[in-house]
Amino acid sequence: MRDIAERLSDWRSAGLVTAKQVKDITSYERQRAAAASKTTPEGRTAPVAEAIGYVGAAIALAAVGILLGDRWADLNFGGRLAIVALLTLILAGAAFTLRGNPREPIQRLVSVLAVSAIGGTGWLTAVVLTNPEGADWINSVFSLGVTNWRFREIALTIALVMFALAAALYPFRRRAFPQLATFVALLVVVGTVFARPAFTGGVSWGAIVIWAVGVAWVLLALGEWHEPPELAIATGSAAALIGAIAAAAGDGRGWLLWLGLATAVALMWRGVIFDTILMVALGAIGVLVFVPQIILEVFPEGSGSIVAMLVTGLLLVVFAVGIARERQDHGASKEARP
Amino acid sequence: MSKTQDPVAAATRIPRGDVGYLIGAAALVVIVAILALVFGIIRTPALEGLTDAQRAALPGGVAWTEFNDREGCADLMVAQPSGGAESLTCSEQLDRIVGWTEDGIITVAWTDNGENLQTRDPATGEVLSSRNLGGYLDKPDAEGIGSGFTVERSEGLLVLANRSSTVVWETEADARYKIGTLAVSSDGRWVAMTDSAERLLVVKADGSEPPAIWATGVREWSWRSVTWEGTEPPDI
Repeated sequence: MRDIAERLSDWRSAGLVTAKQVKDITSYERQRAAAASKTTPEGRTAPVAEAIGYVGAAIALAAVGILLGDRWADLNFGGRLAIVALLTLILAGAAFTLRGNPREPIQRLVSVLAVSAIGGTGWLTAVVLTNPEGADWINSVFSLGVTNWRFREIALTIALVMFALAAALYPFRRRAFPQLATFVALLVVVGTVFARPAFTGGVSWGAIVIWAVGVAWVLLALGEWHEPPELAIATGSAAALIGAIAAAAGDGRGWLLWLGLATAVALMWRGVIFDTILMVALGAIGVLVFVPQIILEVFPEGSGSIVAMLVTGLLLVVFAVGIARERQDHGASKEARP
Repeated sequence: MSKTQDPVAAATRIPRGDVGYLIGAAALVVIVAILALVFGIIRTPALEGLTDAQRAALPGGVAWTEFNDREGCADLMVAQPSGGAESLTCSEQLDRIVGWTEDGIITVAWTDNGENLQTRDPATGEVLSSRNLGGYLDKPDAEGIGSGFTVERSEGLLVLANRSSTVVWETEADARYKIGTLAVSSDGRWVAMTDSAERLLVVKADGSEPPAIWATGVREWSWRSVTWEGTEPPDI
């Protein structure tokens, strides 16, 4: 796998293969390697061992949580800092040690450990900022007035720290967990920035920015900047649709509902054209959410709900027919091939 | 040929995507962020801080309670004429302030057996005396901004007037800028109020001067209004 990766890298640099071909070959070889490993006794036991390992880790973490929960209030700042720093270092150290292991389950574990270490760093930040001794120390170094910070400033700082670490990890570990951590941290940063009183009231700009970030995330997936792209499409689409729904709850409801519907239709259209059922499904959910609201907005009287159901149903039927025809054409063109 | 420590990650690191999508995604986020900054930020009326002469003229301090979301308790806040806002104490039982007499700051606190009327030291927040009310006091009226004052808006103007329709403050203001709660000093000459920019403002009741900023970082907390020093509690 390592040789193939290096060769593909060279071929890509030389312009012999496209990014899409590199991705397809890598995916094919990985699946082939996974299938081959299942035929060996070692390969058959690996997923079971991995699952048992995660269950064991969850039980151990729960025990640590209960133990800490009982004694946390009695710990002073130094004790809290030491415990959280030690846990974070153990997680980061384990991820660093295992990072070169070529086995897929171990690579998944490395991602879980690395993202958990980022979570630990966020916890460490919270311990420093919420304890008076820690806040005084930060004030003496950076003069930020941390002692007067409220929850929103603390949450923003934690989210920024976690986003910076996740965004730094993701380019070197293009996998589901780091991608998800980066996206979630980014959304929390946006949410906490726009929760400030300078932005509250009127149009929900925070929700509109979340919509934009979600759409941008999907665009990056379509442009093959994300790995795995399916996860980025799912999370980005969900964020875009939820952002539009939340934005439409405030001022400017009329045009924001149309923005949400346009997003949902664009997802369905893209899904139909490129045969991506996930995008079609997410778009359909969006249409189901936005069309009734728009029609009830246009026809606030009682008949609006019936018209909404009719239009939503017809729209979904039109898209279903579109999918069917697309599949039919796709199949016909395959059969016509020499 | 380049070497890597992480062969699986290397395989997924090789592909570089379509630059057009990258530019499109970045442009979308940048444009929406600029729109949010241009149209989203509420512009608050610019005001000066309290002058020494105004501080000397104030009849006393003001107190209020606000929720401390760091500690999960209610802060007893006090602003004295000589300084800004200061938290005296933070208590999970503390609810609201109903008076500030020579005996101390009169607060209402929750208990399992109804509400307690507590008199607290205005310097430390320490409870000096406590009396169980055997029930719950009526809540202040949540409607309006307090003391019969009204806020009118027209053509970008905010007009704050008292119950005699005397204009206390008239200013250009964003429609989203709001006056929170308001209280008149015991001598009737000053009005203290909170605003949506988390400021404690003070203005002469006759409207002869624009408001001045007494303290910043004041969080609005529903109907828990500011209370002037020298305010007698209701008959309880």
